[in-house]
Amino acid sequence: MRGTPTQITLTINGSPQTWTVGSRDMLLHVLRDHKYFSVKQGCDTGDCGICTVLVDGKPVRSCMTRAVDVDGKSVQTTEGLSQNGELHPIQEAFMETGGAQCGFCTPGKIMAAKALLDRNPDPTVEEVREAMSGVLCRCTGYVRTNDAVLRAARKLRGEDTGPLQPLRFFLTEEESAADAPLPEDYRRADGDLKPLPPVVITPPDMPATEVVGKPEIKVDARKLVLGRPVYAFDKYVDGMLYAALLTSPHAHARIIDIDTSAAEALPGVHAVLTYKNVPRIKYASGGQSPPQPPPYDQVMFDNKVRHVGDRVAAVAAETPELAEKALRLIKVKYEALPHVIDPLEAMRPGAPVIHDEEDTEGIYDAQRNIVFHIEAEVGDVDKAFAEADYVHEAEYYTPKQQHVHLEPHVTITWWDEDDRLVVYTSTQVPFHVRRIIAPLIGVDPKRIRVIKPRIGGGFGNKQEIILEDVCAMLTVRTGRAVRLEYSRKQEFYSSRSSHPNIVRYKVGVKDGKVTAAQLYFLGDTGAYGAHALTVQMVGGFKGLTLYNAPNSRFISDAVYTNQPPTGAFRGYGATQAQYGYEVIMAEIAEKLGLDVVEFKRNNLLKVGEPMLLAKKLGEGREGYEQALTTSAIEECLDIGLRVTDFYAKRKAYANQTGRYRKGIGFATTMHGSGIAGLDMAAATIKMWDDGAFFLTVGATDIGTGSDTILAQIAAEVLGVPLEDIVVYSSDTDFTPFDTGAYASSTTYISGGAVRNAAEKVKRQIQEFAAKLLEVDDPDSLVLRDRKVFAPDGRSVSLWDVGMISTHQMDQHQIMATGSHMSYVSPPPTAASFAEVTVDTWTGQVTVDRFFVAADIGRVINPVTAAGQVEGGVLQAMGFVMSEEMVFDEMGKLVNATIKDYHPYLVDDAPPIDVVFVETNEDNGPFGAKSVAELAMDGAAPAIVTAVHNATGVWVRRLPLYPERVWRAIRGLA
Amino acid sequence: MSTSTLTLTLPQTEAGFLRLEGDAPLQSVVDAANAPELLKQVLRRSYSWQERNDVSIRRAALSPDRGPLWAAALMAWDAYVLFDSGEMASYAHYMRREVRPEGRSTDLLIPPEAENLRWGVADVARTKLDMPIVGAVAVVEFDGEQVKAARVALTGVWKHTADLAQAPEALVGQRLTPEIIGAVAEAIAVETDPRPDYLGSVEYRRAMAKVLSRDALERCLS
Repeated sequence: MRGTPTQITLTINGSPQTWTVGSRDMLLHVLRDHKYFSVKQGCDTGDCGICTVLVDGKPVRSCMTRAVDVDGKSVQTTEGLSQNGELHPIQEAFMETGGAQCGFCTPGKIMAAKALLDRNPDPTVEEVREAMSGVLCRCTGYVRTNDAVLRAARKLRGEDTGPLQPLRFFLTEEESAADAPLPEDYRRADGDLKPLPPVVITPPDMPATEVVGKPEIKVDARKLVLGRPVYAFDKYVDGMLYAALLTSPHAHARIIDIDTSAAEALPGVHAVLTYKNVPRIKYASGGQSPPQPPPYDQVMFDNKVRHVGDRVAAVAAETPELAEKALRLIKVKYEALPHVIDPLEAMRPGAPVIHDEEDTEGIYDAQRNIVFHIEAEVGDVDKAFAEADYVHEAEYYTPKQQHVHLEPHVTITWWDEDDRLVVYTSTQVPFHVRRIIAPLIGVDPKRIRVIKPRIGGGFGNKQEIILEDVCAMLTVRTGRAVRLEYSRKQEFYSSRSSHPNIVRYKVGVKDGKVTAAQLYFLGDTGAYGAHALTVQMVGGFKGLTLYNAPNSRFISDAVYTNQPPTGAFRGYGATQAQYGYEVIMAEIAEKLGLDVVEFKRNNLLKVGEPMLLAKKLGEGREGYEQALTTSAIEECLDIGLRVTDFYAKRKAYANQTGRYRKGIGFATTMHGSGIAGLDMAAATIKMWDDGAFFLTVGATDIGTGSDTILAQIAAEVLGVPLEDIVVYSSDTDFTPFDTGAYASSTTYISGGAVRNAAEKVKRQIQEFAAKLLEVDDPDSLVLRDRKVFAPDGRSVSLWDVGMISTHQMDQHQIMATGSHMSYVSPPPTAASFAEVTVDTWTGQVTVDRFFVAADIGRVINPVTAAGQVEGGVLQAMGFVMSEEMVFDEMGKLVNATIKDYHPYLVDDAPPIDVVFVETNEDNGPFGAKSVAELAMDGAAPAIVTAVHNATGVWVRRLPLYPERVWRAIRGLA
Repeated sequence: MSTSTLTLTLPQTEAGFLRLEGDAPLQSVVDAANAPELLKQVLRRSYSWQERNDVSIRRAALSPDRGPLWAAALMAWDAYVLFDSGEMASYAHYMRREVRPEGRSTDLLIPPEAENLRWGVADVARTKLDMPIVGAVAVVEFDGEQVKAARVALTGVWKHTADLAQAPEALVGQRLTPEIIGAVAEAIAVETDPRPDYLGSVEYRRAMAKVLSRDALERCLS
């Protein structure tokens, strides 16, 4: 309680309450203290709006509203919306449209929607966008959430909404995907902002399916729209201690001494951790498969700090306030060291050496802060350049982007009744967490259980072991349950970000073909290098493969600086590299007077062609030979050209002279589906005696909908509706292994495991049913509609199979585990189109619309897949337009708040339309590839080339701050 | 900058002015039928619906870092701050700390909409809802075809959040034309004193002061 105890009387969700609160307590915390857990906290500064509740019917930020100020008022939270188990129409609409992805912002969105619809039952799209702009969402791209509000309005007006259906076109042998008759809406008149459903175009060779391919409502949607306490952030354990971290104010310093005596003496403080009292065990915090790529350049606490925000000490105390007070009592004597923020400076001789410790092995050149130097080459690159008709070089710069997942990192640890350590954490990699923290805390891995509940977004940042080791160590030291969470400011300073890159391409062209390509890729890994090797290698492979020049060279340096460390970020180097390659291809086409579309088309990697660098550039190791097995990228390109009226607009925009100029641009991009030869997943399916199934997967649903699509795969194989599959995921005790949610692996790798497990269970069912039906050949039996059918039409129900096999005859458990790994990583591909308006007097660029046509193989669930694309596009749009972590000369962030950093809000976002062109990828489950990261790759080159179309200038440094564009237009440095 | 040439005249009475209660939420301005459209538009541009409901008029006016364009709009609209001592100060003067009335600030007084008032707003930002890098709000009072008073307040070009420029004084007594607007915008850019940051150098902010002042003033032509 903060401030003077004060009694307030309020009505909460219609129920009169009298509470004693502190005069300075914020409503958010008071509501959560009273177990209104739908009210989430996403920042500490009033910027994100996910804590929105209604006070006397008006939406307010509960984190900025003092509890005493609602005395005598009526407060509504999401808990109060549903009545007698019936969802409110707004909640239904958010479920049906896919408006709840990770769901962490969903209660705030729902309350804002309620406030709007209470006062305006028939809002326009524009009114929805304005009203909803106070709640940040990082997953959806706002297309589905806006659609949810409009749908809810129709429901509340009593109109029939019907189920949300994507538009589907099933092609005949004679038809091309490019000719699919998309409705006129998809052409988008100027200013048309209405959300459109995704489109799925299915070629004739795709086998028909019953559950796969349907827009099933997410299996976790109901609890998300109800605002139930399903996140690590909502977890509280009786008797729990609260931990807090002391972090470095210096960019680079040695800790001469640290005195924790006053903090330890404070009553209620139970443990203080520093470098003095924890073992010095080297590790890498990236959640990757063993052997983890070096260097192991971290320890739990060090006597040296390497960035502002680096760990110095941790405290566990009875209350959060006490823990913070204890931190203030810790006396640290620093010796400030020279620091270096710029990666080029860091590589120069004489630069401050960031990792001068003797016990870190595997740094390429510690004296020059070069973590890795990578070179890979195919063909004879120099000869090809010498023989080329034209050689073009250009350098591009990408920003350091923060994930801004709305649920911060949160970990709660405790000893269970068997003296096993439970780690309940917001992670993308529960199995890696278990393995990596075990030696750090001195606990045998078999005594550790890691549980991932629902996750409020991750985007790669929760592929890192960031809090788990410290929190677990505090439980080991105290014997008590401990909770440790980051503030939003700590997320900026002390978690991870994308790698900012210098991307230097040299491309040689002969007779219209790219014959030589060279990429120098400099990555700033910040203070630690957990993902330095792998991000760079992925950037090299993906950045040189789409045009697959027979002579290709990749050179890369990953460099330490005294910035907060980078890590995994959706896109993982491919986004940065492909931005450069796509733009330089456009630059070359312009120089040579070529049609850029045909120039790219002529050079695209074709089905059947080998990906030449696949073997040399694996992910942290040598890779495997791979060829492109499926691709609809040319069809995607053709659809985009037609829907956006590309050529006509290009021509119309070519010679504009006014202040405001329009432009259109495009990009063709590829990604991967898991890490070839490395990622492995498993799934177990158990049949209950009622004929339903329990699916356990190690896969980690971080809001993407992976639990849902994995259940759809199982349901498809087993011939049951989705509701007959109950999913439990991501618990190292109770679910089989999975590498985790990264590298776009879940649909392809984990989906393959589910398919394999389901096929095994199906076989067991067929064998058992064959006895019941007295059929000789179990293979002749078909599972459909919860029954097993014999060729003659007789059937036995799955209920009978379950009951009889469990209780009556040849009794046994029908159950199987399936695993899957792959030596190929089939690339999903996409064509992305951006239309912009540039104010040439100010340099401000407005993205007017964005269109993506994507080949992700089979679309398991069109709504969740579209949500991935829309959300990825908008996250990438931040990377292009506004998001950059900026440091001052002392290494301090100048924009460590959501407001200053500025991810896209609802009314910032253009309409984003998505068309899927399916292919049947033999290696994937039901033909599926991947979707999550592909969505990141097209925005930067599409927007930058659109700006060029509008203005005639190339802006090569991202983000496209207005001044950068303004300078480029004027030819200023 | 000197204030001596600014045409800020303290109202002798509240009569005819709109009183914005300091404790009322910002949204009350948006909801008020008689509040100037300029202020409504700038509030919607600067603050989310939630913020407009949970931030008071006084707080937003006196701590304008989260809504610099709102501060500029109040200055351009010639708002006044009332104090519980009974004193009153022009908002622009008060924010420049040139006047320190006794007591605690309470409410704002603003002139009502009038037939002879024209206004314009322009800003540049990374995105539509981002805080302006530079913003300009112009209010011109006409006497027939001649300018009776003109105020242009800018953000992002001073050491503090927002302030009025002097140069628009030159418009008084003249017909508002694109040519004279161009000259005034040029003069405004010269008198600015920007602080650079990662979103805008001094050179850029000055240039934007000119462009956006011109934009805002030209919107007063129609």
